[in-house]
Amino acid sequence: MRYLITIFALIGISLLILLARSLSNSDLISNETFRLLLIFNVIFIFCLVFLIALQIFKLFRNIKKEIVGSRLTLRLVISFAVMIIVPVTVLYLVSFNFLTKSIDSWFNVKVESALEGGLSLGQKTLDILMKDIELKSKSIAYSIGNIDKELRKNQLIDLREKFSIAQAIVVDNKNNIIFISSEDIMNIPQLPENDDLLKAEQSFFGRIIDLDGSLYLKSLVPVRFNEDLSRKVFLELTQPIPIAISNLAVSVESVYEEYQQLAYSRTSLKIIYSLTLTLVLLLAILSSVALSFVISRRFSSPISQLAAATVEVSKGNFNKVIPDQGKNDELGMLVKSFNSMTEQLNTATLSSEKNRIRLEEATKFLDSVLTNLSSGVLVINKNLEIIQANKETYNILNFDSKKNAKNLNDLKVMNNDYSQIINFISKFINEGKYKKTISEDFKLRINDHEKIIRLQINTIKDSSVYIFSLLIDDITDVSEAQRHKAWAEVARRLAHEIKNPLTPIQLSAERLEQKLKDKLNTSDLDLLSRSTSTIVNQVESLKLMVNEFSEYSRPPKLLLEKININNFIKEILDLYESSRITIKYKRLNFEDLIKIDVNKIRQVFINLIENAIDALHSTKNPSLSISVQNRMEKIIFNFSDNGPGVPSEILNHIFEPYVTSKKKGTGLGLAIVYKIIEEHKGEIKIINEKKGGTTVQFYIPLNYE
Amino acid sequence: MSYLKKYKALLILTFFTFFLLNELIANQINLGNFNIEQSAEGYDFLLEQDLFLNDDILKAVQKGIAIRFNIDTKIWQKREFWFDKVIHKKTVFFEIKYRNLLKKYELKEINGNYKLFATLDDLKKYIEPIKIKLGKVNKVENVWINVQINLDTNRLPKPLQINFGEKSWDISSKNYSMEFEKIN
Repeated sequence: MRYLITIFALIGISLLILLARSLSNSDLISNETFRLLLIFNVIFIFCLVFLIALQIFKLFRNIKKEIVGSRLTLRLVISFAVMIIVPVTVLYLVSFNFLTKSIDSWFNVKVESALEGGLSLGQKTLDILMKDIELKSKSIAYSIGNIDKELRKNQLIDLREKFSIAQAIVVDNKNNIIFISSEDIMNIPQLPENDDLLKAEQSFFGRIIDLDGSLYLKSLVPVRFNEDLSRKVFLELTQPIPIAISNLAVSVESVYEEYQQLAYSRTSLKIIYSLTLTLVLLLAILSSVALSFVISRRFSSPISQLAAATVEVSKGNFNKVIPDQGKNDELGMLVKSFNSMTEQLNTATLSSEKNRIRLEEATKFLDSVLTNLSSGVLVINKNLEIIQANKETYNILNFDSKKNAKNLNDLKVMNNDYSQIINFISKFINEGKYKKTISEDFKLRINDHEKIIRLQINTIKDSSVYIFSLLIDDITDVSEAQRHKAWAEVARRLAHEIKNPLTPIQLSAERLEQKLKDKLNTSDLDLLSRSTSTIVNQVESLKLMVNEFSEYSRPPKLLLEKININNFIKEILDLYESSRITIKYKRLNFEDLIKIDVNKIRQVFINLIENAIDALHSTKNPSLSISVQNRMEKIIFNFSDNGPGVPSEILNHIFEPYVTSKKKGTGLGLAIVYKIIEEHKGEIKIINEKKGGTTVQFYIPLNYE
Repeated sequence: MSYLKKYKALLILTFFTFFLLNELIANQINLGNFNIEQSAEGYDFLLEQDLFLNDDILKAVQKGIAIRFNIDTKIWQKREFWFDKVIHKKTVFFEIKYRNLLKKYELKEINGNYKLFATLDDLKKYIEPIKIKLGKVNKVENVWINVQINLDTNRLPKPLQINFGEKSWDISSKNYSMEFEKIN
């Protein structure tokens, strides 16, 4: 665009020069050329206007697009335009006024009067000279007409010489020369014109002729020869006007004509000069405004680049480099400083980015470790605000740090049982014994399940600020397993210690009854018999109990075999065909064989069915539904009855030995069931249904080996 | 465009008037009585012209502005399959000027001689018949001649030359064309 504007400016200057030259009366620039120039100038002005309009349109489009630097360019353009237009307009008005006044001043009344006076003077002089030659003509005509015929020629010569006439010719009406007398005898006489002769028939006829720039007076008068008055004869005198007078008169005439021509062209002159001046002004203003776009862009370009680069930097792009154009001015220094600054920022950002990536990787690793930890990790500050918590923490404590709790105290609202933990933590923090690591187990009820939570508090000092990491473990299963193990040990020892003396006790009681039954009277015998029977029955009971203890405490050893589970269940249910409760079985749509210890699982079924029968003894329409499902590589068994359910106080300990809701029971049935399922790598749980009844659910892995 | 219908008649009248005026201005010199004479020097083209000068021009002449009239004569050869070709061209002029000093109208004739007239009518009457010496013309068969007289504005003072929109000075005759052999 800048080249285009430069070309336009050059064309404009050329057109202006040509236009100015054409105003002079040079033959080089003709009328057509001037018109053409004028048309070219007008076209050029329109082109400039179009160019400027285009530039303005582009500028406003850039402003609308919020291109950096466009507003600055607009301001510069406006400033330049004002700087140009105001003085040029003032100059134009002054020049226009001056021009009009100057042209008017050319046509001063005094000048015109002087010129007219000069011309009139010249005319009067010529008139006087003409009058003079008229008198001379008439005098000579009279003299030669009234003198003797023979003396006429000499008289003519004498009088011509006397009156200092250049040439005297006497001709007849046919223009035939009768006499002639001339100063220059070599000069060919110029005869009067016939029209002139006619005009001079009655009296004098004179005229002035211009021969090669010299003025001559010519007078023609009729001559009456005294011998023949009817003969038409004419005398023509030719007298040059003195050169001094002639030149002066011609000069005055010339100036007068020039003046009159100018005066006649006065309006045209004003129009032309005003038009030229206006064109010059328009060309100057428009060219300057067009150039102001180029200059403004040149000024604003580095600032725009800087501004654009600053925007880029603010967006985080530190790779932005402004081309250094090698200028040593303030803008050049600014560009260099900016480039240096962005380079430093870029280096720092790259370094920071590397560190951030490392940190992110470390954080991800830590998160991964924390996420995959089976223990809950909770980081808090002194105010008990949660800084970080892993997924397992949420699972164990059943809360969401983002939604439910941001401070440990919030947990109190969720579950009052958390108070004991929070109080413990608060106490630890308030005591200020941060170097100490402490651990404590808590029994909590979460979602109707009793959990044993082990809490370990570790103190971390992070730049003079203490934060605390809480290691939270759900040790419910561990604790339960430990209890089961302890119970098994107890049962084993009890069985071992009790089982041995039972048979001798039973045998001794039976022998004692045998030995004494003949020696005792009826009443004593009856007493003995009842006592012996009691001993035997109690021993049997003890044996039964000991056997169950033995079963509970026996070492895990399974005899696995592949069976069809449907057939297996059907065989067991056949045993309860005559039972007082209705047992429904929903067959498993799964005919593959599964591997289980048949006797153990049979015992599980029998224990669970027996428990259900016991629980439903006072229930109307007692029923038990058994279903088996194959889901996610697990065979899931459900035993659902419509009984009163398990009392909630023993629900969490139902699988522990000696925990039972029955009046007659060892409390080992479900403990044994739990043990068998556990040996099959399965899990079991008892749920009190909200609509009533109890569901015992357990599963065994399908591919258990 | 309904408003145009309203002024339709006025627009047509304006256009027609403008056209007529233009025609009138363009026909301020009438030519006629064309004749060709053969002489020892070749051919002479004779014609008569009737010059009409409007008030503006008369005023300018009175102020001493010389007006020159060019007479352009061209002889064309007819060509059947192409544009006709100029085979002979002759341009002459006469100039009218008012001598303020002498209070007479000065005519510079076609042959270059000066002649003074007391009135412009005398001068106009004098220049009515025009004789243009064409000289030798190589071919007179199947040719045609055209003639036009116009005021030479290039000889006017510059301010008058570049007087835009001023039609007073556009004086010219029609472009008369005729068969060379048929002129008698």
